[in-house]
Amino acid sequence: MRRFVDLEGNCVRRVLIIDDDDDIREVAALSLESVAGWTIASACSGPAGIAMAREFQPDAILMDVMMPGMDGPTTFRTMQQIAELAAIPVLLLTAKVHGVDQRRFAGLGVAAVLFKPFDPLTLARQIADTLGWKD
Amino acid sequence: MTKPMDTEMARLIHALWERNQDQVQNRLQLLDSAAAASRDGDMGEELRNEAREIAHKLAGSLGMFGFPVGSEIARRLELLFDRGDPDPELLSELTVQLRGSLAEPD
Repeated sequence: MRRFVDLEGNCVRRVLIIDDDDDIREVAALSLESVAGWTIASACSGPAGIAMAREFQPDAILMDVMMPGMDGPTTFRTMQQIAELAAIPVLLLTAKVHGVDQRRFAGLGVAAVLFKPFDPLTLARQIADTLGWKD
Repeated sequence: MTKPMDTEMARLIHALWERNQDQVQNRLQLLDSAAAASRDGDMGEELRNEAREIAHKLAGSLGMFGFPVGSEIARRLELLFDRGDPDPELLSELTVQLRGSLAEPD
């Protein structure tokens, strides 16, 4: 995977947000850009997210579970079939908190399941800790 | 002590909340309509699904705007719509509570 660095040689993380809810996309982008200084792209559906992932080459994808049409788990499984996207860690975002949902999503092979509503001040730290990002 | 980033983030998120008020009000009105239809005994499948989707979105978003109680009430509404035939009185009560919870950030 390509690594992106700023003018001072610092690693600049790239995160793609896929969610059909404008509010979630906007607040997550604001949070990750402002708090962590990451570069963010976003898409409002599974198919748009797959296209954006190919173009943007993110270090991680933050993706909603429940989206109309192609939902998060289906989008994830589709990405797993695409060689250039299969290794990108995916964190699912869900408003559901039932144990059965957690187990089902964890069984998909995603990097983590995060819950909505998230705290905009700590979202970046949650993602970095989950993925072991130190920079 | 509040850090500068916390204050700045809070300001930006509040600005987003203010900017999206029309959408929030539309969503609350749809839930009111669903509650009214339920009281009248004519909430169809389409309205119920739409209301469930709206409740789901509110459950996932209100907390990040500083309204965790609103998120919790919206989640209860989502579960009610999920069950198929929600109790009209409980539905009305929760929609009123939801509006009340958004009067002031928690």
